[in-house]
Amino acid sequence: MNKFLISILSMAAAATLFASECELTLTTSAYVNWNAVNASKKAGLYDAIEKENNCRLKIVYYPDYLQSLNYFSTGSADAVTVTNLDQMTALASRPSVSVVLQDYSNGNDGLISRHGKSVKELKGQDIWMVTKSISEQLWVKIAQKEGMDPYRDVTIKHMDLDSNLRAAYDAGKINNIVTWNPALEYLVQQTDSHKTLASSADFPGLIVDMIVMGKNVADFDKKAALLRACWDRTAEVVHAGRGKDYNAFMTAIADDMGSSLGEAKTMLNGAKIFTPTEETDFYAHELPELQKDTYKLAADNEFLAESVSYDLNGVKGGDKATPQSVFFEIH
Amino acid sequence: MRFRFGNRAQIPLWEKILLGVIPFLFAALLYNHFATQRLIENPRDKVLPSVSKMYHSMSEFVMKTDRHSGKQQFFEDLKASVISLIAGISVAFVLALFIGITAGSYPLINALVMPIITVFSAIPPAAIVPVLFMIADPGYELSILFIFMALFFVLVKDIVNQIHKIPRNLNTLLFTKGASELELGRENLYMILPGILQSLKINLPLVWFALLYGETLGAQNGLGTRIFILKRFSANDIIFPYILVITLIAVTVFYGIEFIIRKRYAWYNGDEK
Repeated sequence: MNKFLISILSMAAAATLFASECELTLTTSAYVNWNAVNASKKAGLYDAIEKENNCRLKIVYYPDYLQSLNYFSTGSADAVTVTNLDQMTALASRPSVSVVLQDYSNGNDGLISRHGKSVKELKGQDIWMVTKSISEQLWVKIAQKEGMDPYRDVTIKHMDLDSNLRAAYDAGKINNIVTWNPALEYLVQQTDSHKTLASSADFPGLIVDMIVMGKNVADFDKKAALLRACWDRTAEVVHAGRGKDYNAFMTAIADDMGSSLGEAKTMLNGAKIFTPTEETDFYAHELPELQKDTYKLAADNEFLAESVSYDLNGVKGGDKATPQSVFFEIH
Repeated sequence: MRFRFGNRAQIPLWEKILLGVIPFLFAALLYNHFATQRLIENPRDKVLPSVSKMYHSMSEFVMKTDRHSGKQQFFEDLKASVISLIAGISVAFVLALFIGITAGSYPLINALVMPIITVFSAIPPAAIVPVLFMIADPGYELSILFIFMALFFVLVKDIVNQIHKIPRNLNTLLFTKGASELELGRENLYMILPGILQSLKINLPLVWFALLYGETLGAQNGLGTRIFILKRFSANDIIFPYILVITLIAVTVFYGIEFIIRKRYAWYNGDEK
């Protein structure tokens, strides 16, 4: 009876605690380290943090990347998981601040082909991708490295939703695609003949995954601190690589991506998840140059919408480069 | 005595036009109100752009040529969508007529095809995209397939229904007067066509929905394709004019079909003079 009373009381206390205030809406989509946020939440890794920060994390998950970006830009969510390129282009309509740099893609984005044995062989063929986005950025880099013209040597074909890209490849209708994990791993595992011809592992530090918050969000500091603490917890668990929390997390993430534990492990290795010091270093030393290059690539290849004009001076670093600080601001 | 109100009201033309315009004015004012409010809060807001912004962006966009193909993107989009529409509607209409009339006329065929058509018509095409990818290539084929699926089943069911409504005595009469099966079919076709056109007209919104959805599945040009690409950048200053273009086409097709019914099948609405 006592136990029962206590649990009721504590539940009531928790309810009043949460009901009184803050809820942060984070919208995410299918990508390993974004699934990791989902999985951590499901595995209960964030429970203590939410209580401590007196703020609840609500996750709105979309199976397609662009849908989550749209959901954020229209103002429906406080925060979104996005890459450094897409923050400049797709999110340009809503002033945003990156509060967490999660990782850089180190093999999690790639070009796979059903028949091709090398990138050069794809000359004259169609390559399908979500255009004007990270995938096209990666393709431009791959082509440049191989000495090909990214736009004249192949035909770039656009598909709006990444889940459909995967379905069309599965159905055997398209042969070359640029996409990211979990779809990449899933398609490569289908048969032995599907080859990853090039991947983000060839360009470490090119594609940075991050959590971005709207500048106009109420209680900005409090919510940024919550996101920061949550991601740090996930990174900590992943880096630990063992223990009860790790096992719970791995089960949850494999479930979230519809993969086996082994596949989930491979995919997690496809990204370099920053430790707090690495994050600070990367931010201080590499990100400013990277963002300038990325912006140039976006502008040169018309990734920016016809009506988006963008001022490079608008890309500024924050003042303090500590793990608690706010990173890039896009005005 | 002229009635102003009630179900026998006779309204002069100018009043009809005025009444029709009022809701549009109201919608425009409402839009303007919310757009202004959002722009005051955030001058760079793109969700509800001002009318002048839309006009400028769109006129610029129409003139702009694609960097790789050198063609004017807007007209490429328009062409692609119109072709998909015409192809999808025609294929669905002709096939539905053929299957509908045979199934409506011959109980044996009816028993064979109607159950599966009834079941298949309940499947939302968007839910079986992975299967559809196996049937059609991503791109225009899929857009056309989507329009076909949206329209075909509805029309077949409607045609069968209308054939069954033709008085039996009439067919018996024609038959005893020496009409062949083919002539009988032609007569029945003539009698149901206006009803089917009416049904097509009412189901046009389904067609638009199908076209736009189909175009997200890998069509490289098209009004829907462009809308979805631009949506990513919240470029509503171009998306809204695109929607206006779609609306104009839709309204034209709607009144076009109505015009055909009125001209060719005047007896259908009972306004034969």
